[in-house]
Amino acid sequence: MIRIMAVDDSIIIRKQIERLLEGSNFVVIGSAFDGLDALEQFESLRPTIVTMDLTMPRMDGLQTIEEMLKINPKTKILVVSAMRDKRIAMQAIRLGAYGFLHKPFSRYELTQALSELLEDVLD
Amino acid sequence: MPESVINLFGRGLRDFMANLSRLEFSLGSPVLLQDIETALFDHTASISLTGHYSGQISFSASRQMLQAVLRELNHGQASELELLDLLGEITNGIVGCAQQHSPHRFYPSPPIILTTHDEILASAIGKVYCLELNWNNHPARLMTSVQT
Repeated sequence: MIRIMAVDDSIIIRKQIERLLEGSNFVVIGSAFDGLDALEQFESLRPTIVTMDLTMPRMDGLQTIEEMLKINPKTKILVVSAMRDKRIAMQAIRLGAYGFLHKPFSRYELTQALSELLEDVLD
Repeated sequence: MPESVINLFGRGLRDFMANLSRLEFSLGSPVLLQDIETALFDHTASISLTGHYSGQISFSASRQMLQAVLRELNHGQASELELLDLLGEITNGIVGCAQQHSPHRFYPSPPIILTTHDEILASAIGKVYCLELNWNNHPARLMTSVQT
């Protein structure tokens, strides 16, 4: 099973990610409601993939990506956001995120995006 | 407020609802809001914009609509906190969808839930334009109060 951490200030989205991945090769091993909460849990959870919201209170997604990758550069980060500003997406990719998934998303779109990351992990 | 700005967020609402589910929905024409208190449903969320656009985008919906959206997303029973969280996510999604059509950069804040009419009135900058939504027989309203 591929270990996923879901970072999003919305409990609905965190639950949705967990529910949509039931029965798949992915399992949500932990979740966080903002960047600071995520960083506190990150080292002990050791996720393979992190789904990352961008707009969050206290510490936003871009800053969290940067901090997480300083701790473990091998972590694959999928940005999951309602924001559709291409420049923000490019900034996230430049910081080290592997992909971008727009909200709202379906089970197929989520597993497809995660599988594409997984292919990169296994390569 | 230029008509293009009202249309931009109307387009965001249309795109978001089209992505949310396959259920039919309809949008009215934007109207200048005369009495904000009568425009509100049970719950209202608001997002502040900075950058090229500054102001507020608010979305007001009934409790029944939020519960119906959650059912559509196959969520089970939802707490009050989850209903309000969903409202914020809908507002966030509408603004995000508008972003992809915008020729100008703007930055949305995290959504906040407005709990009193005073807060809603205080959040409006200048004129407020209202767009009626009917989704799955549930009415809701998008309110745009933005300056360029």
